[in-house]
Amino acid sequence: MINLANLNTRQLATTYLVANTPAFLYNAFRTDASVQRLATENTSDDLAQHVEQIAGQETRSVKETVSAYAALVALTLQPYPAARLLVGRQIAALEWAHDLLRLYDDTRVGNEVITVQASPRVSEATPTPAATTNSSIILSGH
Amino acid sequence: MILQTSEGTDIPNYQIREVSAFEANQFADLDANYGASTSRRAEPTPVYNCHGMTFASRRTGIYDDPALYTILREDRYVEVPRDDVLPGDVICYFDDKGAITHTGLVVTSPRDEVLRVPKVCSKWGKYAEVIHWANDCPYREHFATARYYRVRQ
Repeated sequence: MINLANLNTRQLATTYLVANTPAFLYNAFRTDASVQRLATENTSDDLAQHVEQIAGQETRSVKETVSAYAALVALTLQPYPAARLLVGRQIAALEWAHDLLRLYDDTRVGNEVITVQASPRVSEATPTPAATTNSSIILSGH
Repeated sequence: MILQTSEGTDIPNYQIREVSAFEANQFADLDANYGASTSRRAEPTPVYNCHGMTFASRRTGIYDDPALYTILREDRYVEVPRDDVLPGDVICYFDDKGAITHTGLVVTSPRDEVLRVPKVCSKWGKYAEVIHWANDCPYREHFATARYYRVRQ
């Protein structure tokens, strides 16, 4: 059970209503502070379960639908592969759920630190002792 | 439903039924938040979105951004400078990534006395059709990069 008490439901419902495309909804929800808090205050399992539970209902109020989309977007704010928990679940009843996951997959970039070990080039003109250097490549993003 | 450009390319589309008119009406004050000159001209319906109103005669919704570029190209829309905009022209709002976030139809030309801002009729997502100043709507942050289009005769 996730805690929805701090969710800015009224504002999110307005955004949901006026969203013309899944991309608009996705970008607006990701920048909403209450959705970001949802991501930090709940486990991935609980968020995924909430999405599936709301999607499984025969009827949904706007507020319930918005809470499901908020939970889905919150999953995309958690470290990878949290959002993958939704793969294979019955969420298609939420009309934009798969669009949002596709947007997540299309825009996701790595944020791990990769350490590369590289030997320096040997130059005949300026011979130097062979050595090994470490370089770090940091890919920023979510 | 089958929706095609004038060159016969299929345009993906669907009708949303996720929100009832009753529920959308619970947000009946939505347009009122955008100034006294903003007025709703029809009951809320989720069946079509702004792109469906502008390009599909209110029959369905278009939610695929690349499809909009296909429509503009294959239906022979050309960009119109703001000074030449006429009622009936299409306004497209673009975000900073070049995605079209909103479209509508111009109902009054930009004039000096209103700071060259046109009045627009557009559909706000699953909500209703609204007549509003082009810079006074939920997509106003993208008004600065809006462009205008007209079908080439």
